[in-house]
Amino acid sequence: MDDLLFIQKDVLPALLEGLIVSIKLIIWSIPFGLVTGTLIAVGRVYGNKSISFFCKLYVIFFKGTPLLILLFMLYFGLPSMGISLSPFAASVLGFVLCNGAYNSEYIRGAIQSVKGGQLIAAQALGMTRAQAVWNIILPQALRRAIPGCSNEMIYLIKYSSLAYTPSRVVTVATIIDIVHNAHKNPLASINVNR
Amino acid sequence: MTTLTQQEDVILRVENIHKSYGNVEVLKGVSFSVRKGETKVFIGPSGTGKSTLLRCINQLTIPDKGQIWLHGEEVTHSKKNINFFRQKMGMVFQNFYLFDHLTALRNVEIALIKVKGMKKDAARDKAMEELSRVGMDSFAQHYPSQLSGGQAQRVSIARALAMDPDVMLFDEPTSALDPELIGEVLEVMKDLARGGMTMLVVTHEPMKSCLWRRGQFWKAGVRKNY
Repeated sequence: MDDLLFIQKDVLPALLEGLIVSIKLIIWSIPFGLVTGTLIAVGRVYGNKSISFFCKLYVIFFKGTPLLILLFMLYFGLPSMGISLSPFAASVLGFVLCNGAYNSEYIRGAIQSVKGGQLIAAQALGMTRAQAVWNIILPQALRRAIPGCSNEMIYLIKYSSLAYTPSRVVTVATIIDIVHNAHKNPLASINVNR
Repeated sequence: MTTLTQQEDVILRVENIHKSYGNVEVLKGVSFSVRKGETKVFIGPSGTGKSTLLRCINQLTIPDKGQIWLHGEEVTHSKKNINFFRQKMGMVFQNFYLFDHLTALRNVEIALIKVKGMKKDAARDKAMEELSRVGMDSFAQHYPSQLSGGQAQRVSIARALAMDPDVMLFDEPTSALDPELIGEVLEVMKDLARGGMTMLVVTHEPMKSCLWRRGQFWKAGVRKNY
């Protein structure tokens, strides 16, 4: 009976609150993550040497940085460079940067799988390279990237637990509290899964 | 006087085109001109630079040296205008390169809308017209994967024709086709030639000689009249 009460009075409301925060976060993160991923992928495949190199660096960096560390850097690290972000903005930015890096790999693979020559054929009809990529290559590539990118979205939804706590404050800062207090408050550890 | 009229007739002039890949000089100063309504066929084994020549003409490959003139206007070094010249030079590829995500109709239509800025309805009518010209109007709603090689190639010819080109460049248009499908594509090309279209055809199949008006013999990048 006590357990049921605990679930009803504490766990469920906390989870519900977390759910709402998650939804708010992903509503912003998913579209911008897709756009970032597409831009990085296109830059990497069709950009000139320096753009392509920059995009590669971007992917290596953000794929290689654990998301929690990235969020810490954005929220705690940036203020020392004079950029202070709200906890929500820091979280969304972190998710977009990370999600964009992963998405770009799926989209890059999809771009390269589009049957060769269609870009040339489009250019031979008088399209600019940008027009050809936008009208011919991307519609095909994005369709092929759907399975991979939707995986990433699911990860994103679960990762959003990194950015909230039951204490109403959408902040990575409180994650530290959670980590510190985990032994005192077992409920808090629910929110740092994954 | 006669030379003057002849010069006015010239649609495409190619002058001293050079192209090398690494140490291999593929084109060693190629020059020729094409008059209105003329069909020129280039025959030669693979790797002799026939396709490279076609790609140099519409600048999909940038030649190292030399000039291309269309209607007396220089195509080489035209920078931004190149997209205008490319519309005027329809190109048909060996492997069709149809846009896989679009129906036959949309394949023909898309450049009309995106490049020529035509209204959707007008573009649709024009695209249907071109599809019926190659006998593919009943396949308008088919996707490329649902078409045979010959049908796909006819759609790709329609796609190039829709831009109202002054000259058509055929890059081995029948090489990727089963022998029994070659006929339908050749039929379309013959119709075009009879209709007065200016055409440049590259092939390694001598059987296409039915299209010859004046054949060009090609070997190791040096052109001779044959």
